[in-house]
Amino acid sequence: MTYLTFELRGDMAMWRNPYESMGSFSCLGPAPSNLAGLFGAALGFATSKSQALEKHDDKKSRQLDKKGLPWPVSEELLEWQIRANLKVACRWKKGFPKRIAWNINGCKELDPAKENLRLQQQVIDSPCYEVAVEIAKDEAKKLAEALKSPAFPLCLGASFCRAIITNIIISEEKPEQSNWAFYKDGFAVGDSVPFSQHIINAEATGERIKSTGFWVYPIDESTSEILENPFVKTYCELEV
Amino acid sequence: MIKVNKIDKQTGNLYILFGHEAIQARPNLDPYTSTLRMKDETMQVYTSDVHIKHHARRGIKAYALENELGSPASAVFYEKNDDAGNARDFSKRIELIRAENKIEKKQQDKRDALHHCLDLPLFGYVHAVKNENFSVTNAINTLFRPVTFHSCEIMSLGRNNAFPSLNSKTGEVKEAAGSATVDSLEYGFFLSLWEINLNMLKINTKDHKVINLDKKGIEAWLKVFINGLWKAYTSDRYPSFTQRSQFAQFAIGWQPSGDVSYANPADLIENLEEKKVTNHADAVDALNDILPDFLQGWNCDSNTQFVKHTSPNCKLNI
Repeated sequence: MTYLTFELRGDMAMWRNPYESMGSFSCLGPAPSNLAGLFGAALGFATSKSQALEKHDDKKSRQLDKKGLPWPVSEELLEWQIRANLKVACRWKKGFPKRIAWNINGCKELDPAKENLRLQQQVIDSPCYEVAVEIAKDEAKKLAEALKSPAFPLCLGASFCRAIITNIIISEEKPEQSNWAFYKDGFAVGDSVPFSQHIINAEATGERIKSTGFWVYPIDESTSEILENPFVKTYCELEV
Repeated sequence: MIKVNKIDKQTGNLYILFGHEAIQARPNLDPYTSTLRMKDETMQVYTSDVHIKHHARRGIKAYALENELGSPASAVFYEKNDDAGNARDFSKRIELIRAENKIEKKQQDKRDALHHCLDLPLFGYVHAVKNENFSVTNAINTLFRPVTFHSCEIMSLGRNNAFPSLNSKTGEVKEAAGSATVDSLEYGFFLSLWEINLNMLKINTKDHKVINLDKKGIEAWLKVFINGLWKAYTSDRYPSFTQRSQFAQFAIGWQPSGDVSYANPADLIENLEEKKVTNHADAVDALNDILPDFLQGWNCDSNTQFVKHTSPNCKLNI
């Protein structure tokens, strides 16, 4: 296996919690599925509902709507994750995290006779992470190139939070093991992120993301756990 | 009008650094506290991308009107109120775009707004309509929050816009309620660094009905954005008391040919000997000291620049 590491940072991050419908409070870091989405944007894998897809199949779109998938994950991205046997690790690198108030305006409606919806959000201020990817060697090179020159804009969870990627390194050795986000299947204290993976058989299940347990981001050595292997899969398959 | 030179390489990212100053203004407020958005440690004032794009849209409409680009009423999608101030919802706005462009029912396409408005291909949107869902990723966005590169002086100013009220029974005139003290930015020179993903811009504009990408090139879209942004802070400034005293100072755009520093304009304050800047002359002097290195780090030089424009009172050596 090959390991690709890079620094992921930006001015702000808005990692939505899938359990919170208004998505107004950012998790501290990306879930595994968020990282897969970042790679998909770099590689140019458009979803079937994106303007970036070369040809739109409206009939299929309607079918996906009926199946409960109005915003599906890119089919190409799902296939690539399996082909690359994608696993990721991530750690927070910025000391004590800080959130700031932010807002976005939408032309969406709460009540057509009254006002438009205004979302007010709490985003992560100046986030910085180290991301490590366990991946097949040939895919590692392709991914590194794509991260250097991405097909689509790269973002930290939301399109208004542009991402900056630097220090891309490919190595045959596993990265140093400390402070990585770790999995908890039950109750977790502190800045824990719902552990979310893409569901590869989404059309059969009507769900695009599965969230079980938490991915806990230690903010320093004292809150970290020693892990034999920090890498986790970005995707899963659900029993139908 | 600001000219845009030909873009050599049609892939990758372009960058535009836009500088504007705000004098005795309240550029953008925190949604929870209704106070100026500040970095408390450094007294730098910042705004949001939403805020500056809101202004840019107004400038884009003015640019479209001046250059007869499509219908003025549909130049910008995000006009969420009608002339009487009543809120419009998403579907009403799309109806109006179609009516303005005489799109018959049989010809309707879910991308009508994307193909007729000038702001949507630039700033993106989500078409969240049942059975029609699709999304357009923004091709242009600020990479960092627009921010003053220096510490600012903030004044507390009293405001009282309310009328006194009359007690009809006693005939007594009561002093006006509603007086308040607000924070006001005395002087701030804002820098906003915009990132433009060319691939996304081409995707978003490829079937546009007003500006034909194949005939006019990607440069025509860059002109819409840069001139719109410039107009929003010059000839077509927002007239409110808190917004009108903001003025465009410079715009410089480049296409890096190598690695870049990714330096945040907010961090330029670290290079200032005198952190607090309170007037235009001192701001320009300070920028002349610190901008050249910053731009060099971003691989911005005469070979990579595609646009450069300064206001008459901004004597910058860039």
